[in-house]
Amino acid sequence: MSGPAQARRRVQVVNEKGVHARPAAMLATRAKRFASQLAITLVEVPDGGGAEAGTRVDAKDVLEIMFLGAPPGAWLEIEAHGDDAEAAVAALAALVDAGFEE
Amino acid sequence: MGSPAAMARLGGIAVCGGSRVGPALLFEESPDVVALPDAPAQDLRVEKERLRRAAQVARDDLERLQSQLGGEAGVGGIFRAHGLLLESVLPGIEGAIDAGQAAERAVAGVLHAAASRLASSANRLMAQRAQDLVDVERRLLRALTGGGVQAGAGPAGGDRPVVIVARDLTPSETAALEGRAVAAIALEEGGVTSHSAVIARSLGIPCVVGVAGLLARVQHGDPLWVDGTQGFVVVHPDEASRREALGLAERYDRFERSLLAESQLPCETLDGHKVTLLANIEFPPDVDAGLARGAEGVGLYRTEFLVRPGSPLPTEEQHLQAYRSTLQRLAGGRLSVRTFDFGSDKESPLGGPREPNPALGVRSLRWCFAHPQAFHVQLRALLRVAAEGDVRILLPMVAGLEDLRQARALIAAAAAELIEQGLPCRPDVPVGIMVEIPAAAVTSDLLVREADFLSIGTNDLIQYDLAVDRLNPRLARLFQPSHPSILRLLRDTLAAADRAGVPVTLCGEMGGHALHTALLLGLGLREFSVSPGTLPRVRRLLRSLTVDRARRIARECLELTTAEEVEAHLRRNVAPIEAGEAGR
Repeated sequence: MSGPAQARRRVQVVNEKGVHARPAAMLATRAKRFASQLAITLVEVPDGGGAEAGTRVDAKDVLEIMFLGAPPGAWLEIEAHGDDAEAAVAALAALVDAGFEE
Repeated sequence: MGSPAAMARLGGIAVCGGSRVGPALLFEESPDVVALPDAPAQDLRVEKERLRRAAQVARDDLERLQSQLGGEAGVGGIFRAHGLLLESVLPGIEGAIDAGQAAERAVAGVLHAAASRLASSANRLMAQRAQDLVDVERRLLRALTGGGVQAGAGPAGGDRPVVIVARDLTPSETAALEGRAVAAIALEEGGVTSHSAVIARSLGIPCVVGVAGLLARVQHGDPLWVDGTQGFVVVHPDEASRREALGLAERYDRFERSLLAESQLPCETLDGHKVTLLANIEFPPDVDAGLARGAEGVGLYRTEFLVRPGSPLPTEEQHLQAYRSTLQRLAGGRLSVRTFDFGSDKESPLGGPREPNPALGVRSLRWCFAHPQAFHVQLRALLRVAAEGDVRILLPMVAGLEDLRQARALIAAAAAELIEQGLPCRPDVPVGIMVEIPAAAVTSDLLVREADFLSIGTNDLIQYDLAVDRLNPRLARLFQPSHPSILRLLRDTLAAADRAGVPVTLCGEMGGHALHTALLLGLGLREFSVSPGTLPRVRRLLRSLTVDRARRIARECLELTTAEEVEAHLRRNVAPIEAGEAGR
């Protein structure tokens, strides 16, 4: 018996201004297209980045993502639980990798 | 609401020419607090209905703004984000109404709490983002308080191009305006040489910066007239002003078109002296903009755009691709690539300790020496692409011969490595230096013994020589290209290079300013590298001067005692030449 699918991936924030409102909105919009539960954890912050590593938020809530305060260079872990977990993680990771097209 | 819209004219610094009227779009509102009506909740159902309607008004506004400015990643994307923020805070606001608060109180309470949570973040970038929440709060409050709905409705008139109003714009924000319905840009802060100004010029968007009192006077949707040629903004222009704006717009545009039409004419003075016109490249699209305006090559190719803060530094292949594609587009023209110029106002992508005085810190070439691997990768790519065309290496922030020698040793080592690996390269690639530290200008006679060429960077040269931070708007008046000290540094540098037979380019903003173009020609400069948008004007002015006349003007300027006197003298002697041309 296997439970619902799980997926996770680490990605680095590469856009110039970090995960501010617009990137947060892009993430949340995309996350809402998937049935899986999606979470984002701030795993590592560059020196002087100021944000708190270890914080975990709901990836479908734009405000919560903003509260993460992920600065440029930070590492995020995206994890999903549910049938479309793989696709969901890939979709969010692609956004971060592309620097939110900024 | 306040008094009927009164017309007001605000002076600023002209950055990019043109005259445009359009509704204001506050790109970033100042975070002052909106006064709250202190009414208790009467009927919870009524309060909820008011909230629902206000949310709908806000939603509609945001959608309109978004479709007007377009693009998820562009300016419009910000309003899309605001729309999502709005949806995500609404349940909390409804909860606050259920707990007995009036709608206004509930909105302010929930959004203030969220904004202060962000604002208290130790992360400076994120703290600034609290602004987005403040924006959503104000939008909802304006919709709730009824009278403000129209003001909060954003620029009216469907897809009429807007005037972007902001305190300052970051380079990426300015760049994101390309291709959007933007009529003009007006900034409260910023100077002629700030990055937003440089980019506005390269995009050709009429722009005025340093407009004191702008944000205090302008609301979303207010009609604005921006004159980027003369450098002023008129808030609420009346009928007569609008007509004047239109007339000027036509005149400026006709002038620009006639300038553009001359782009392929040879750049020669009236008495037949050839002058080389090159383009400064901030971002890759500038290359085409420069070529379209008849640039013969690239005098300053900035490489910082290759690096995105927080992401890994570009690989050798990425460097190579960027340089190679530019070189190919230049079709034989020269490409002077400035090595990484991080530090000071361009933050180091590799972090590092915060410096008390970054302009005097580990920046530019010093940064390269401190990060030898990053420098090595860039040098290898430059040596390789130099085998494919006229590529030259330009070293920033050289203070003396030691800097040049150290860089040359690193270049030689990189070349030896490439040769050993059997990769084609040009070990004797010309290596030039930026003359932007006063020490380099004063000792230019020593530097020309070993440098293959000089490139005078007036933006930093003026900043360091006059001890004036060029990004500090409060000192904008003291940033004086015409200061006698600058004139002497330029004279001596040009003379030293001339005696040694070493080519000199000038790539600061000063070269593109008509009065100074003439002065520089007179001081002996024969290679100008300016932003693409400035090329046509410089070409026309050079084509309407004789070297003899320019020399006489320069000689007279060198006799004068203050920057003000020099400016006045230049205006008297050069402006008529330019105006004679502008008058067709």
